[in-house]
Amino acid sequence: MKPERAVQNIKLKAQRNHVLLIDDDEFLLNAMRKKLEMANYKVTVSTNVHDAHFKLSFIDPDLIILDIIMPDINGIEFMHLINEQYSLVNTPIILMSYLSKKKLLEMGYNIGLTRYLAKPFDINKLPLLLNKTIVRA
Amino acid sequence: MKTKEDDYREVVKYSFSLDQLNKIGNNNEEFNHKMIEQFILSAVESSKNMLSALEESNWVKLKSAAHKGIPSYAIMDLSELVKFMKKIELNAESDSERENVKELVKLFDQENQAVINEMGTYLKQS
Repeated sequence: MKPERAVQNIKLKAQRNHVLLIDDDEFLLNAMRKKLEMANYKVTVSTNVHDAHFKLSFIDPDLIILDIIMPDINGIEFMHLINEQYSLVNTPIILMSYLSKKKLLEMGYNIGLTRYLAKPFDINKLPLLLNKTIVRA
Repeated sequence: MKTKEDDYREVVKYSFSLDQLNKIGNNNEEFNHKMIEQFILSAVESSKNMLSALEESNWVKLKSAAHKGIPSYAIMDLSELVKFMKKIELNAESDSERENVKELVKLFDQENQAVINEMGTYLKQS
């Protein structure tokens, strides 16, 4: 490989945004991972909040996508927990669920102004959505 | 360019489609195979969870199990099974729809098993 090309690759690699995906649906998680990796994102996945909590102690993602309805602790509680513990004020979080915002509110889940993604969604549009979210943050 | 998947699809008409996976993975056969294997595991789990919820008369669990599978089935373009799941989810907690829901879960399980078998055949032959 030519040195210029190698330097360019290193620069590209350094610019990759890092996303942490948390969802207990492994099929969906792997589909999202593939799409984002192909869009040059660095992706870390967790199928449960305990694993995500552990990984956050040594990674510093640029964006977190978090499912709301999960076993043990729901995504909203987890979001508050990690915000306190890891000072993620500047890290955008996208909450996702197959429940509507209205239904979530009825169930006592107030997501406030947090970004929200309703399932099922078109995974092919995910890179564009993330680009916009990261630019805005 | 035709892939092995295209050749096989000309012979057998599937109830599932790889269109979404092809878009996600840019026609990567290895990725498709891994995802189908993953889907089969999830589909087995979906049937198991719904049938056990039915047996336990746990309607909240049934509703949740039906709800959870919808995104994955939508990616595989299994629109009929998505319809079943949506109906089960919508009516799971309704006393007046109990008998219909029981029937829907059984039908879902039958159709789901057929799809799992189809996918198994696809993995063997492609």
